[in-house]
Amino acid sequence: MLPSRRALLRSTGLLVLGLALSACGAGDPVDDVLTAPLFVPPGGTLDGLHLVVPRGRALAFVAQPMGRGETLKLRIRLTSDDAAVADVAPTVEMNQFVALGRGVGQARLSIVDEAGRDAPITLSVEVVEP
Amino acid sequence: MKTTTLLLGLVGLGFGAGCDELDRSGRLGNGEFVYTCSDLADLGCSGAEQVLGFDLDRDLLPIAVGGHFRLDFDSDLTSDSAEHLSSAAPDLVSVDGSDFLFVEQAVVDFLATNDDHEVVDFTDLSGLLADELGVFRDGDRATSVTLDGYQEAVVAAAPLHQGLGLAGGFTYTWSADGDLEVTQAPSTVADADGNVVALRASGSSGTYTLTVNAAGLTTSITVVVGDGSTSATTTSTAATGAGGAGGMGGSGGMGGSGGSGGMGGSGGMGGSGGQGGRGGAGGSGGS
Repeated sequence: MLPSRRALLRSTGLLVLGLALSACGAGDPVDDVLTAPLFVPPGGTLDGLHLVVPRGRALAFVAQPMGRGETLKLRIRLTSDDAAVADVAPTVEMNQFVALGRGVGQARLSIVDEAGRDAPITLSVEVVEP
Repeated sequence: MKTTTLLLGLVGLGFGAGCDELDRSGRLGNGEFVYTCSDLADLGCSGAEQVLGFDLDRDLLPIAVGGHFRLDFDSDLTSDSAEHLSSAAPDLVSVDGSDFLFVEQAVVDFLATNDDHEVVDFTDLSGLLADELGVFRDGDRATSVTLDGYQEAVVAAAPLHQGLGLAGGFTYTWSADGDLEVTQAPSTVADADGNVVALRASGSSGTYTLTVNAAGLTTSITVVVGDGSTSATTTSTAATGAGGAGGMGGSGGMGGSGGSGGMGGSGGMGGSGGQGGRGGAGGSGGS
């Protein structure tokens, strides 16, 4: 028995909607991040994917996700592997972050996109004595 | 009627003087951080401007290590309340109830975050070790005060770092020998707190010692009543202790009492990471 025309249209519509949602949600994976400073405290630096933050200070920066050399319009999350050394928090603006120098040492900030995919790169944070 | 109007005017002036805000804009331009005093006496808020002579109508003062303070944040963003305030480094700034305290000398950023744990803004504050406790009168540093008979004098104390006044709330303890009457937080001074006292002599001449203790530091000044000659003279020493990292500095020695020529004690050295040592008491005066 062949499906009715209405059922066919319904399933086709659902397929198109699913594909569209899939494209919006995931898109290209993040393979790079471009950074730019918003506020760098004295004694701190931001050089590509490497940050230096004095202990007790906050360094604010933009982290623009990139995929295949193109700017990606998606929100990323940064997570520190050692929050006792350097923590990171998002600001109210999309893809703007504040890195916090808590204890002298090194920490890595992993990058996760909206779909929960880990980027193949990380940011490194070095916390130094002021 | 005129008296009432004048009094209301004075109250208004006093209220206005107490409304100076110690504030600083956030680094992200989303609002303003406002320094707020704790329940303890604080140079930043205690209305002692007329006594201490510090201009409070300016950016935030440095804050004394160990001094209690609070922060408010006025957000420019209508959608973000940003009611949560914290320091970037909890080991440099501790929290006691609603109060912050610098644990050691440092520059530390403070963050205002919203309910979604997003940073709305941040700013930095400086914590400095107080190396001295200063006594002030009529806007100037005072090492001695002279009173005529029953005259009253108002003095105030403040923690200093290389002469710079430091904000931060402390408990002030005042004491005086002889016939000096000391009233803490006198009602005659607008917004006075424990760092401000009114001194009144009973009328008999003499030379006395007024001592104040706060922030782990002690300072004494000489108070001369009348010609100061009928009582035994006293030598006072304004001794200070070095503040200890992470704790309270040592307190200074007391000046000698009794006859002339008493030697004051030397100031105590503050201990690191804990309670500092207390300075030795000075010897009694000689003949």
